[in-house]
Amino acid sequence: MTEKTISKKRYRDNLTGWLLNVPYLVYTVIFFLIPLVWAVWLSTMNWNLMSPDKIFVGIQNFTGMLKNPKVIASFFNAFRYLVPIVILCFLFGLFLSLLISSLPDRIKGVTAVLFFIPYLTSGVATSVIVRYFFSYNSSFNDFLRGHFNLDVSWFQNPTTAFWIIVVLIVWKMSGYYALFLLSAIEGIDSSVTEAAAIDGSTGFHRLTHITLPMILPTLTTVVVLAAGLAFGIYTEPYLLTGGGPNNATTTWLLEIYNTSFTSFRSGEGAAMAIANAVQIFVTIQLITVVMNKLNRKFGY
Amino acid sequence: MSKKKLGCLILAGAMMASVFAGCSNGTSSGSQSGNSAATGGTVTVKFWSAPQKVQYAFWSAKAKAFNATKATVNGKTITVTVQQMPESPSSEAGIQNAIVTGTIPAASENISRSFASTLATSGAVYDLQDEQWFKDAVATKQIEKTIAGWAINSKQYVLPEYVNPMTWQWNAKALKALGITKVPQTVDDLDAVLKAFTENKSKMSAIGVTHTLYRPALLHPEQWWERWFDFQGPYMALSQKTSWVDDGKLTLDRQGAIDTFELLGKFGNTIQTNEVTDLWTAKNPSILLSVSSPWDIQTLSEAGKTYGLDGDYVFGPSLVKKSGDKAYNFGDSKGIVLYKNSSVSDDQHQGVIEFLKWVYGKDNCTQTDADWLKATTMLPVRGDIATNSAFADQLKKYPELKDLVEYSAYSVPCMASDKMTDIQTALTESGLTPYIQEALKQKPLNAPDASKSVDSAFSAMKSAGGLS
Repeated sequence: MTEKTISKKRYRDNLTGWLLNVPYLVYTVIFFLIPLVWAVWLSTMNWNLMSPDKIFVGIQNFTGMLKNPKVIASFFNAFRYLVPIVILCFLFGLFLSLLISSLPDRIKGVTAVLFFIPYLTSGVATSVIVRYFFSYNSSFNDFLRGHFNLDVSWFQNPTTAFWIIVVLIVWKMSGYYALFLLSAIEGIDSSVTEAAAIDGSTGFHRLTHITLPMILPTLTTVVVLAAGLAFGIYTEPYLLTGGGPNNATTTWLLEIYNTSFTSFRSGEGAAMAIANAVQIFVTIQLITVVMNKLNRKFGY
Repeated sequence: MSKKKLGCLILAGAMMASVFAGCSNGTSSGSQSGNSAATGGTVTVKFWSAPQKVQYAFWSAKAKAFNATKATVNGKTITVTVQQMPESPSSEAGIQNAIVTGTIPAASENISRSFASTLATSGAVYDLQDEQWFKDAVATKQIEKTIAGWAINSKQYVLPEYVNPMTWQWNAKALKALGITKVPQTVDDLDAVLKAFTENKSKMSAIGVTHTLYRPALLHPEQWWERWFDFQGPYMALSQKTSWVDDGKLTLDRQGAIDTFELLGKFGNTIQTNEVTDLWTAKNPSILLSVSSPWDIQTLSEAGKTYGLDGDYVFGPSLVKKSGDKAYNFGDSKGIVLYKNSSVSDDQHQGVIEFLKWVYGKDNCTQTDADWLKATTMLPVRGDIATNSAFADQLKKYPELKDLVEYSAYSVPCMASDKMTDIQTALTESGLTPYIQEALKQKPLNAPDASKSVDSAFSAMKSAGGLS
């Protein structure tokens, strides 16, 4: 084959590749790059999106955030949510996947789907049900008052309000992450588990010395996804607590929404969105570094 | 072109088409769609109703009737199309989005005085005060005095549509059990009720009444709009209508604010701050009173609840300091604005004026308001509801409306400030919620001193609203 022919073929292949990538690139430019640049520009403005007057304020929207107790609460709450959500999603996901993997093949699929259903359920619907469940006149609270003389204000106590949201999210997401882990567990070669059994490794020992190290790359994915999830909480606090009491359950998204679309301080909202993105990026990078070290330790 | 390359092109084209499909504004592509249609002898005018079905049905019927008249503007036939305003995620945010993207209609209802102030500050709505049709509508509705309360920087941007006077809703059976024979009117009356409640707590518990005031929103600063109902309403009565914010100044009367905080604090640990899902529809409501909810009249009627002191529930006026004071209250009130936007053509603007002229003109205005009352049970803003026979049937059907009409004469709309959300949030965060948390530790009639909380709220409101 001559050099000219090779070059022509390479050009054709490249062109085909670019053509197939055009939709993605266009999509990225329109729905990611342009909004990102626009958000950065908006974050330097004092503008409500409706007025013809756009006032340039430089970094004032960013410096103002440092004095805003709601933004500070959102920043720390992101980590407060992150820790229990990542740990509990991991533990429950692992528990469910181990449970399902030990079931007979004929019911394994159905069971996995059953645990996946909460993920498919609307956050609005589940939040409304939870709100009713903890309302003063619910059967649950009637029972507590009647039998234990307990009158609990579930959503007015910062601790209970926070944990109700965490449990709701963990319940919703665990089945989803369990599918990842189940797939990894099912992928472990049977010869490995058989060899471990011959060597006397069973039960908890097998879990910690064989199963977990073998599914570590998938665990990494689950941990990173769960960490990302903790930064994107909106529906549950919006419908259950409004971010209260005393900002105990507020999140970045809730505050961005309130600032941009309730107070109509869209420039400030854009600045908050950028600060949120930076926090997510840095945190996910740190988690990835730690998980990668762990992966390398186990030879991945 | 090779088949492979052609296949790639088709695939790429299909994917791009699917990407851009999401960019559609959802309207059909015919010449009559959206705001841009003003061709072929027809001008299509878009009007947004509130998101509620009942209001959409009301305005659709009006548009249909108007379209049948074949009214014209500049020789073009006007066609009004009604859409429910998007709640994405709130109706205000939906309007904000529509203004930015140029999809705003020529006019919409469901606009509060405060949001109108934001729109006016942004130059997004028309000043109506010099428009003859607006003056005629005000005259026909006999609301010359009321309209003064709707002014924003001495101009009029909103044609008021309805008003819900927000006062108190009492559990009539509970009042009866306490031996109260008259709906409380003054703070002293309330003290007597609370004294009776405290003395008969076990008796009241036996009939299922465990709490006095139902008000979970007092502990929710993010629910800034609730301050209209539990702060502004009582405050207006206790301060005898001293404004809250006026012309960039915090004009709130300090003593009035203290009195309002302490009025709420009087309920002490009997305030129900937990959510109750069947508050007034329960067989035996567990509370003594709540902020009234006039929009629930139909629901309560359908639930078999009867109105009046001898019935299940009764509305009472805002509580005043002394007999003879006027029972001012918060008027949960919204109206119609006309949008000023490059996407709304002159013909469309004139077209929507013709529509509103027809709806609220001399010939149809009374019928329009009567239809509104029948459809929504919310009082249309007009000065002759109690005397005009067009409303008699509804007032007879729902006796509670008679009381609401009486209270509506003293209704005050929300402040005209584009910082209202921040101001009301600051009031709650820095004053009301901490105060109520303190009051919840006390027995009824032992309201803590509210002066420090009010001072703290004043300072926070000034800062949040940029007020002097």
